[in-house]
Amino acid sequence: MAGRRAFAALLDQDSVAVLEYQEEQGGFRLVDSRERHQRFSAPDGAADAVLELLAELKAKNASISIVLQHFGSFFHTLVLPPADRENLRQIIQREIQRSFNISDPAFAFSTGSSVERRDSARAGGQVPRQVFIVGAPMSVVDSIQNRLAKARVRVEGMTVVPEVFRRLYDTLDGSKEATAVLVCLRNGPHVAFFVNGQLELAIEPPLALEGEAPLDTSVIIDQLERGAIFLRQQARGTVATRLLLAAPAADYENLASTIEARTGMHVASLGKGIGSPESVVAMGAVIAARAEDPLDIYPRPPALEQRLQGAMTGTGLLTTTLFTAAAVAAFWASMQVMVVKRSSDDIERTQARVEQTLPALSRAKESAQGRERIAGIRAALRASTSDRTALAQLMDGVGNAPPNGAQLDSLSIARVADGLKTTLFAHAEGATGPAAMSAATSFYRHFKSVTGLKHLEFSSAYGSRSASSGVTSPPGEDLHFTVTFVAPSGER
Amino acid sequence: MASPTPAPRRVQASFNQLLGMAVSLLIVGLSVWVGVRAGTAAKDLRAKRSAWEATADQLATVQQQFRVPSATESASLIAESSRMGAIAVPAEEKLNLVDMLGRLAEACALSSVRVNAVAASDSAIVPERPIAGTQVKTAEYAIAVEFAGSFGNARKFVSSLPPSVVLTRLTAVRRDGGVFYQLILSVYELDANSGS
Repeated sequence: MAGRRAFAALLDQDSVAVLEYQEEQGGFRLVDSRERHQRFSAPDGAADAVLELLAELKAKNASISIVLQHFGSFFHTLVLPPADRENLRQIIQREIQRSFNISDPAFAFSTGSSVERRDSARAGGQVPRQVFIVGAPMSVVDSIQNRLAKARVRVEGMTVVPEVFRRLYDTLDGSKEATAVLVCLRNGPHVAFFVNGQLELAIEPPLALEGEAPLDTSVIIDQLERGAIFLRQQARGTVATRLLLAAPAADYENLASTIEARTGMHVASLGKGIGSPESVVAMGAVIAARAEDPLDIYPRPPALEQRLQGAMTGTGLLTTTLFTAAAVAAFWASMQVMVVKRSSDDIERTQARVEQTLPALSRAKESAQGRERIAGIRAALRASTSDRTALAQLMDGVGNAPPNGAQLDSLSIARVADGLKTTLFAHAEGATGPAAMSAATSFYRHFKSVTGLKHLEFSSAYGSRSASSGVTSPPGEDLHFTVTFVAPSGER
Repeated sequence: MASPTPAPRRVQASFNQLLGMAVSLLIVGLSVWVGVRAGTAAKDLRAKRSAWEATADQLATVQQQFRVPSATESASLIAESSRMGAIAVPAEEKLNLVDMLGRLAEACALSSVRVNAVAASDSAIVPERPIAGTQVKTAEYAIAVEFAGSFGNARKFVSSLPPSVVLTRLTAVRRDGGVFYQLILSVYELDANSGS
C-alpha cells in the first residue's frame, strides 16, 4: 500500500523482534530490525513492545505481518476425510477444544494433499486429506488486536511458527527429499520435518531446565533425534537426509558440524542472508501472510458477500428491513424538515420584502391621509356653502310668495333629518270666504310649484265672526292658514 | 480460513442485533413523529406564505400605482389644510365666535341684535363633518341670535354665516310693524385630542 511501511514481527513470551523490509522485484530487502528480550507475562505486553519498537523505527503508518509464539498458540495437523468446509470447521473446533483445552479458540485451517496410508482401496474413493490448523485463544488474539488497532497498525496476517516453517520451506527450498528444518530461536530449537515437500511433523522447543541454555548443542541434538524417531513412526520409516539450519551466526558453524557428525544429515543454511533466526521467522510471517490460502488467525471483518448474505437471511433480514425502514423514515423526516425550512425561508424572504416596502408605504399612507383630509375639508366647505345656498333659496322662495291678499305672519325653519322643516303661518282676507281661501291657496300653490319640497301640507281655519260685525262692519272673511313642507338642505 | 464465531461473540452479536433493531424502531418512531409534525408545520407555513405573498404583491401594486404628490399639489394641500380653522373652531374661540356673529348681524343692517351662547339641544339635528385625521364634533353650546330687520337682510345674514356654524332653527315673527328673528346656530368644534 502506498505510503505504508512494511514490517514483520515475531511475538514471543521471551522476546519480540520487528524488522522492516521493502518489497523488490523477485523478493524482499531487509531495511532495519529491532529486537527486545524480556519476559512478557501477557500478550498485550508483547504487543506494546512491538509498538515501542515500531516507534523507535519511526513507523507511523505501519503494515505488519505477525508470527505468534507461545501465549497458547498452536499448530496442529489432522487427517480428515473430505467434507464440507463448515462441517470441517465444526469438527476442528471440537478437536481443538478437546486437544488443547481452549474453549474459545481463534483458529484457521487449510487442507493439504491427500494422505493414503492404506494399501487397500477405499469405498467411494474418498481419500483423507491432511488439514493444517493454526490457532490461539481468542482472548490472546483480541488483546493483540486491541493494542494494534488503537495504534492504527494494519495487520497483514497473524500465524504461528510451524506455518512459517511450511511457507519458508516452500519458498526457499521445496525439495521432495525428506528434510529436517531446525530454527534456533532464543527460546529454544524449533524442529520440523518435511516429506515429499509437505510438512509432516513440527516440534516445539523443550522446556529449558534450571541453568540449562536453551540452545545447548546436546539439547538440540536430542531434540533432532527425538524428532527423527517420531518421523519414522509417523511416516513409515522415513528418515531425513538433509537439514536446513537457521541459527545465530556465532553458533552456526559449530552446530552444523556437530549435527552432521551426530546425525549424518547434510546441513544447509535456511535464510542465511536474512539475518538472525528471529528475522528469518519474521520474514516467514510475511511470506505466510501473502500466500494464496493463508492460515491467518487475525480477526477479519466478514467479506461484503458474506455480510450481504447475512443481512438478507434470518434475523439479519429483519434487522436489515428495520434499518432500511429507519433510513427511509429518517430520509422522509429530513425531507419534511427541509420543506419546513424552505417554507420558513420563503416566508422570511417575503416578510423582508414587505418590511422593505413598509417605509415607502408609510409615506404613501401619510400622503393619502393628507389627501383624504383635504378632500374632507373641501367636502365640508362645499356642504356648508350648499347649505347656505339652500337656506337662501328657501328664504327667497318665502319672500317671493305672491301676496294676493295673503300675509305671512311668522316663519319657522327647523333642521330635521331629511332637510329643513319649514312652517309658514299666514292669513288671507277676502270679501267672502272663498275669496280668502283663493288667496290662501294661491299662496300655497306658489310653494307647490317649487321643486324639491317634500311633505307639503296646507291647513286653514276661518276667524270667528262677531254679532255686531255683520251689521256695522263691512262684510269680509279672515282665513288663517298654515303651510308646512320640508325643503332640501345643503348638508346631510 | 478464519475461525468460527464463538458463543460469547454470538451472544454479543445477538445483543448488538437486538440493540440495532431497537434503535431502528426508535428512529422509525421518531422520524414518523418528526415527519408528521414537520408536514403539519409545512402545511401551515404554505398557507401563511400564500397570505404573505398576496400581501407583498398587493403592497407592491400599491407602491407601483401610488402617485407621489407634485410640488404644486403639496403646496395646494398645505394651503387647503389652513382652511381647517374655517370648518370648526377650537373650544377657546367661543366668545370670539359670539362676538363675530353679533358684528356680522349688525353689518347686515339688522337691529336690536342680541347674541348669546346657550346650551345645545339634544334633539337638534346637526350634520356630521367627517375629516380624516381630525375629529370635528358638535359643541356643547349653541349660539342664539336675535335681531329685527327686513327679510332680505336676514337672508343676507344667513348667507354670510361662517362654515363653523350651522343653522338648526330659525323663527321669524311679524310684530308691531316689524319682523323679529330668532336663530339657533349649532357650532362645530375641533376636538382638542385630535390633530388638526
